[in-house]
Amino acid sequence: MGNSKKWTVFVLTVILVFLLLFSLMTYIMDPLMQFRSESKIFKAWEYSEMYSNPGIAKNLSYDTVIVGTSMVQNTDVPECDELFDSKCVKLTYSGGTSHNFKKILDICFNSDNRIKTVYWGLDENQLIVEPDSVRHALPEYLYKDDPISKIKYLLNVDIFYQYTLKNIIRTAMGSKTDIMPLGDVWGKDAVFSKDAVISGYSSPEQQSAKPENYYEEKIIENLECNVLSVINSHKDTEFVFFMPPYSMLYWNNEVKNGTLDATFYGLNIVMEKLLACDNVKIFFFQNDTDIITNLDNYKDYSHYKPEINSFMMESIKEDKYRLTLDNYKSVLDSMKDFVKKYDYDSLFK
Amino acid sequence: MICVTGIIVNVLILTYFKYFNFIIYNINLLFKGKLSLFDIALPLGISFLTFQQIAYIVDSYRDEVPSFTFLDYFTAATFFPKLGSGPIVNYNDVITKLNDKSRKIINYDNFSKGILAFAIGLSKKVVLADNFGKISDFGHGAFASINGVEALMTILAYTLQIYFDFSGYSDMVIGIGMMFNIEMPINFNSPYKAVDIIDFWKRWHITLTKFLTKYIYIPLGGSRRGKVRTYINIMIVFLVSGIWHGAGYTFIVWGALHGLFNMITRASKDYISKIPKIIRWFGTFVIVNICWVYFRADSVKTANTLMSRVVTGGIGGVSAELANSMAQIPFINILIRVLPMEAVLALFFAFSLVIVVFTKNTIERTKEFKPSWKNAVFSILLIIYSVLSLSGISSFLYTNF
Repeated sequence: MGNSKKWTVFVLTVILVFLLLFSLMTYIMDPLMQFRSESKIFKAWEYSEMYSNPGIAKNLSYDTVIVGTSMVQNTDVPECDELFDSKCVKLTYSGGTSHNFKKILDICFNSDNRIKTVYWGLDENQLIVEPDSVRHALPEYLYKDDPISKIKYLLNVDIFYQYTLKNIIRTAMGSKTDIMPLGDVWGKDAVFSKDAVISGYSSPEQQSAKPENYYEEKIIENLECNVLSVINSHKDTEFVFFMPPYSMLYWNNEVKNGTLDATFYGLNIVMEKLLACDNVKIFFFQNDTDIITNLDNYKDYSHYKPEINSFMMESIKEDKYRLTLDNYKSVLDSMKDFVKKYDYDSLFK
Repeated sequence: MICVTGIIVNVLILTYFKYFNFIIYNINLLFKGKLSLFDIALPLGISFLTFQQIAYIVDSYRDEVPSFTFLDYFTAATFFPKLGSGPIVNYNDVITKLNDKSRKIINYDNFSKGILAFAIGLSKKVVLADNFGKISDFGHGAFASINGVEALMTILAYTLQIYFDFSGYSDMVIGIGMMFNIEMPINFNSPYKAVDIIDFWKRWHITLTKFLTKYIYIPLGGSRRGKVRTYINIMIVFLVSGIWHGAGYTFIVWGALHGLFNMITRASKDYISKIPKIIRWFGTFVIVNICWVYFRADSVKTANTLMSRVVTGGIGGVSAELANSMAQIPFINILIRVLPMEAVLALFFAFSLVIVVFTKNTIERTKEFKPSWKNAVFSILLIIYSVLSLSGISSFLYTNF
């Protein structure tokens, strides 16, 4: 190929031109909506929570955000739009921690949207981990806004293979996917029955009781770093927390693992801290004994059917199941009492 | 006196940053104390810098180097390509080259070779090392429950990971050095082609071996003070090497094992030389693999368990967790559409082993380099694929040492 000067210039030029064209292609296609939400190219989207949520939070228009774990994934977004007369987006993380939700809410609040209400499906499990831990390592470059992060998105063979290419194929095949933030749910394909729950369940061995303050430090840290910090920097937004109803088998685990006292002690701290904020409402569904003792509502010891997601949103609208500074202690006490005295063997009959 | 003080100060600084918590841990262990550990951040490449400084202090003491201005010294010490993980260079050499005016103009012969070396190094790191890292991280995480096949894969994966990681880094240093007309010393010479452990250490991390020989082994008397002292000296060198690599018993065991195998090899030289080469190669490779298990493991116990799983774990397929993580890699994702995951991983290992054992290394390739179309396409493809794979990439292993 001649001399080494020509070789060098050729090699560097080809590399530069290729990388430029590649990043231009990703920019135009924008498979994760990092730059815009409207696409003239794609009719169908490949969706995954960890990768797709930040772009959707940045660029979609909405005034209401629903966050939570798999407990919230079956929430019907169009139904909520109608119910609350709003434009909702549902940003969930399976097994997400409070830090997951802080991160995505920060992006929401930094977007052009003015957010009226945040509905936050709150599980105790979100609060008993290290305050900076997330469920799975996130592609951080999608959650940041600096130039280097943008380059990592634009020049990325994984993004091309997993998203750009799949979006093209889906669009070409004429499929129209419904993505979770706009309404897709997993519950439509799942089987909810007592048999399914019992067959997949094994009761843990009895452990010695943990001290009451077992979770205290973690819960306070998580609340302060990931929850109260968001609430207090957005006083104009209403934060509606709702605690979903797990089945009695979940509570059986708590009893067997010796964490029941620690859990209720922790819940008291959560309520006390959150209810002290003016822009917070809390709805507590964990003690609806009609729901939690009927295993036909579930697919395993904690996941309930989509009807219960609808029921929760309707109840919130009607201001039912609400906890206040006046009633939270007695509600939690009577729930703890119920859990303690319950005949768990009856569930298996 | 100044020489000794200089060495002590350097070692103390390194001790503070790297070994302070390890010392406290041992004090606690011995006296059942509860001294709390400190949160000390390890400065980038401090282990390398310390050895580099000691080499310079000793060389000046021996009048082997002229005195340099502070700026010259500082430039050489922090020359960016080698700052993180070496190689450990001769200051005299680097400073002379940095100051040489004739080297300050672009030399396309060097530059083009530099591109090739850089391309090979980058792809070793990004395409090979980090993907083997996924396997070894998985295995070392789930060491107690994996099956025999997974345990074997974990061990081999780390052996390949650390080689591709560190030699990839060294290739890039050599490549960038060439672009600036500064030849950097060779650090790797196909180490997994070695036919005994002594041979291995002439091929693996060559600048470290040279340093340890010149500044520890020979001052201790080397092999001139009788057989027993020679073996003791060998052991001391490898224990220092182990401790230098990390504050923990796993590194000490790793160093001791290498010391031990070096001694055995030395003692039975005549016998070993009669064994067919292929068997010697295989034996060496197995020993090196076993030593890396201790190097990588979180504790000596973990390493022991992991190795016993090879025998007791039984034969089985790849677990879903590992398969899911590997399936994210585009080229593996394409292959598993037509082959089972186990076969794809076997191909990946076989391909990499062939590269390591049978193909020319980067140094040989740059020596034979011609500005051909073949080399151009090769370099372009490697660099483009590596750059596009960079986003999900971990940091270099060796900067922690």
